[in-house]
Amino acid sequence: MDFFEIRNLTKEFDGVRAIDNLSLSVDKGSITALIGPNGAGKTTLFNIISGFLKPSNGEVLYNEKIITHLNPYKISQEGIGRTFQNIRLFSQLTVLDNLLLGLKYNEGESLLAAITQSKKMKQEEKQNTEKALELLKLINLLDKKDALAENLSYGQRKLLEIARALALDSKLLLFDEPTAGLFPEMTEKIIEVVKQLKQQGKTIIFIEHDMKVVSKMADMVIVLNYGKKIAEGTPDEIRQNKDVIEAYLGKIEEPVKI
Amino acid sequence: MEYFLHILIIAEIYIILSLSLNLVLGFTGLPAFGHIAFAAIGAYTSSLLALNYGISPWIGLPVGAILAAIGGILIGFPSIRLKGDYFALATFGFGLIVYSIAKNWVELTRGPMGLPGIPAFPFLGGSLDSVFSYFPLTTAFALITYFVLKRIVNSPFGRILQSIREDEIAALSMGKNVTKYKLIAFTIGAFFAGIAGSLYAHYITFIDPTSFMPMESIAIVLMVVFGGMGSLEGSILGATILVIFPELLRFVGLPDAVAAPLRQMIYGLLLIVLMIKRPQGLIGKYKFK
Repeated sequence: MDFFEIRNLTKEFDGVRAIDNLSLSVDKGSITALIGPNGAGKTTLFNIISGFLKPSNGEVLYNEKIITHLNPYKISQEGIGRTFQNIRLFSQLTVLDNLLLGLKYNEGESLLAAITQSKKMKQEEKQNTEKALELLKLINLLDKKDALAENLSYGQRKLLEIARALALDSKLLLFDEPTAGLFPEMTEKIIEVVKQLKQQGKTIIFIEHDMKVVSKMADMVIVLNYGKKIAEGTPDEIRQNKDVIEAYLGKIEEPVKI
Repeated sequence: MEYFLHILIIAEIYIILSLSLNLVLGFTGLPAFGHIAFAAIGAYTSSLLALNYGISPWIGLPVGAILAAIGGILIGFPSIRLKGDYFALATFGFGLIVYSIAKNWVELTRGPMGLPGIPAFPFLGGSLDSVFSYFPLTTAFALITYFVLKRIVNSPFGRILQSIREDEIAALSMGKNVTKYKLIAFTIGAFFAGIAGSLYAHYITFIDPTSFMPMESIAIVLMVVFGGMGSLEGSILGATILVIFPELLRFVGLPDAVAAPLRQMIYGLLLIVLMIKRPQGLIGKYKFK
């Protein structure tokens, strides 16, 4: 059985099929790019995997377990982390707090620990702060640790959101357009970080429009169009694929009649 | 002096109310518009226990606070999943229900006739029935409320509450059980409001439904917003100013019939000016989105 699998998934919005009987699987430790024209159902798929949308039909399997009907926070606890296309940070909290919210606490998060100011809580807080500072080093934001997240630049916020997803220590990571709108240097940084994650044994699925980034990062590419999988293969295979070119550019054989 | 202490006692009771509402509204981001209902539960519980069964307010106060907390769970459980505006309406509705029960369940609450002769807290053979003896009591409770809530908001637990205020969906994707945390915050808020209600009843020695009108909840919201959402010190300042300020009107020599509606108008005006000039409140950091 595969590490991560989607079986006959369908999602309808008022009669429109955003996902249409989609099946796919992803190997453990691989990087998979999800591409497709606008409205192909990529983000909808992410929202279903992470539990924010419930499918009309079909199943999502993770580690041999059906997770389709779990609450989003449970899915996150199971080990699936994600970022959002339109960046969802805790804007009026500090950069450090944003990361601490991703890190795991055991007893330190309870109300009782808060009221008694328990030793355990302080200890966990200290350990997690160290981990958070390390993550900040990784994304070169150490000097901004006490700044409010809302005061960061777009690129920095994008990086912080990715770092926060890393803090979750998820086994499967979903990145929704991680490099969209970034400077080339930032994009390189993100590619580097994602490749490091792979070396640590993480599995990554990401949505991307830039084929250069896809070629550099992905082991496998899955192409969606109208909620269906129209192609699957290595980045090089996908470049040559006629269906994919058609989906993006339209058919080229038929001349336009005026 | 006695008058001055009286105002401070009332201010401290409102400080407890606005501190506890701030945890819910300012830190967790839940627009709760029925806070006074929990004070009513606390007040009626400990008053009735004392009047009908002779139970000491020292026991009645915690029992009232626990019943208020249970009330918080009962209304919170079905409504906490509602989106902002709907939650606000549900809690306001709860305030109306509690008010109506106080007014119409005459066998229990004596309805509009109210409960006169509520006994004071007994203390070392005597009782806390003067402003001089009551002031230390409300001060102690206000301080306890402040320090407990301070610990809560400055902890990993409090950080989660604030993350829910900032972005519920992101909090869920961080693996936080958002509904559970909201319910806990709401229940803590109700608990402390119950304490405030009980303190009020055993001080004034008379309560009736008009002490807990739904509009009173709006006044507490105003204190929180005025002082600053997400700032406990702001709530202390907001409650103090908004309790003392209308009292100043008395010195201008306005008759009560004018002063009372004027208080409401001034509150309303303050809120409008504040929203335009300083939406984060006097010493708050958190801005409306």
